[in-house]
Amino acid sequence: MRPSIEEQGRKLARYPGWRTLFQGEWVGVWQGPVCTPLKAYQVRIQFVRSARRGGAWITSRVNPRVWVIEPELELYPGADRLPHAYFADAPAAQWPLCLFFHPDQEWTEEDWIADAIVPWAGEWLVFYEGWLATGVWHGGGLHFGDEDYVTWAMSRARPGTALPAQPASCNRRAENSIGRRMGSFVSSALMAAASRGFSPPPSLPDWNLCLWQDED
Amino acid sequence: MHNVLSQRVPAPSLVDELLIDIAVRIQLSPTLHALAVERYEAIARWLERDGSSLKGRLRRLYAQGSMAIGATIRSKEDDNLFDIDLIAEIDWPAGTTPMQMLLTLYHAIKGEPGSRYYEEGIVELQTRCVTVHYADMHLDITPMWRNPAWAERGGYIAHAKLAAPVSQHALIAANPWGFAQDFMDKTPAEPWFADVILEKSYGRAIRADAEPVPEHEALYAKAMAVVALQLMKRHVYLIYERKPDGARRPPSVYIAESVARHANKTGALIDELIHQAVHLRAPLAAAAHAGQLIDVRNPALYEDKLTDRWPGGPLAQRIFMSELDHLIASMIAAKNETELPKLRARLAALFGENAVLEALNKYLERAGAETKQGTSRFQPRTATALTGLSTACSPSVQSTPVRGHRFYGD
Repeated sequence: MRPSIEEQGRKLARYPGWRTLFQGEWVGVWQGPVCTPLKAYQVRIQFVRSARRGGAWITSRVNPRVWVIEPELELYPGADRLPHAYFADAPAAQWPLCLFFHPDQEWTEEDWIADAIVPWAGEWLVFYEGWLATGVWHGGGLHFGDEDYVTWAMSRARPGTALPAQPASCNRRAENSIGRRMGSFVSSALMAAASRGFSPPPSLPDWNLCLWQDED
Repeated sequence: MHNVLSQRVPAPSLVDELLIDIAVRIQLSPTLHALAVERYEAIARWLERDGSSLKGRLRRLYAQGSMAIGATIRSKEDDNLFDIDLIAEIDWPAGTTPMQMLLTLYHAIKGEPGSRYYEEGIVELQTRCVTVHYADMHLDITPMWRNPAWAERGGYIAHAKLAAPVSQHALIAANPWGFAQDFMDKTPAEPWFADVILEKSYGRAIRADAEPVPEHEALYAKAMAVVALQLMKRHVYLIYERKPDGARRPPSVYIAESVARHANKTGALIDELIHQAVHLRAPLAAAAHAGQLIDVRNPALYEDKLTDRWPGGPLAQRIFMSELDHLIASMIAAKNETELPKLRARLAALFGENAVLEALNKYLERAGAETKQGTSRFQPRTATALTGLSTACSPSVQSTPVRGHRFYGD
């Protein structure tokens, strides 16, 4: 059973200082503080509930999408990007956070954002602070194409078959190829039209949503 | 053995977590503690051997000072040496001089050519003790002459320098055993804190309900004040080591006396450090204001003056006051610091870069393991990630478990 956007928002609102920026039938944007033991960060979460529109499934490329709004994140001296963040057309310190391994469905739309995504964002911030202090990311995880990813993929591949294609990857190159194979990326303007008149808040970066066509 | 106090609950704090990890990294580990005990018991047996000049006269050989109160630390940033202080209570014939006490013990330990402690560099005569050197520690054995008129184990220790005239040799009143008992009585451990420090010291969960608790484990079930003492000693060692003119540092036992007297007034380690530094400074300021030098006595024996060799003069007293001012200001800044790189730098300046980096890595590794295993905690009331904090699981800290997951990324 998938919680509705409204239900997701209601549960998020139990955290102190969390507020709704937008709530529609299938899109919700919320913001509030997430803390490490040292400081508080303003975190914004955008969630697009997958919806069937005619013959296609509409969903977000990265979903839920999580940004740190303030304070502005920094990079470790000499680094050119944040660890475990999604590539985005924005300064590296503003990329959305990669909080879970989509291919293993560690979070699905049947889960609560408040119960998993918010605590995971808190953990991400703990390891981000550790990275800033030591230059080492201690939070573990994996990257598309690295040894752990290949090990994971091989464990799921049947003998004699190719590696499984990854759905909704946060790897842009891989995802672009999936996008070409399965559907097409659409602009926020198009999605705005699809969301019954909703326009994203001006501060939101391009939503980069996906239109997934049925394969048959 | 530390007493256990039943009050106060933990408040998860990163600076406390790091301070505890620093203290654990610089303290005498349980393994080395056991080795030190093994070594001094071997020396006791050696002193009782046939042919030993002390055969039948050694009443007891026991730990004193930091070893007795569980506050032994590595004194330097770049080596792993520990100083273990011991008392050898010996029946001395009437008329034994201080130098004879020291030399008799020295020769009794050194033994005959070919014996285990005889080789050059193993045994060394000091002004008040005989040092036995090992690769990882020194055993400083102080000969004592028991005075039955004083409280249990009170007596005289020798002060004699070979090069100094006999007129400067002296018997000094001391009761380190009584001091340690008094210290333990005044520093009961907070149960939650004792559990945290025990687990970190042993690197594993300690059975909380074990009865009786083995003595070596109980020594690591420390009060916050004891850990604050270890950190203050570490800071004092480091800053006095850097002083160019070999200035004598304030004696640890004097600091320990103050810490015990003001223990258990705070609920966080960082607060305990600030509180202890403030109360260490106050009597110094009062003495300086009165134009005097501080005079601190052993609570177990008034004749035992803990400040008999320090401060050498008003300048030494003023220098230590100003070092305490700096420590207090730095700890307040560390408590309020919100940037981890800056917190790391602040703590490194106080306790040494290596110990702080090790502590930081340990915390982050623990946090990483919790994230992977799905055992980390989150505090909904404040939306705070408690990952890697030892106090997060305490029943008094309201927190919820966080589902295991893996960070992903390009």
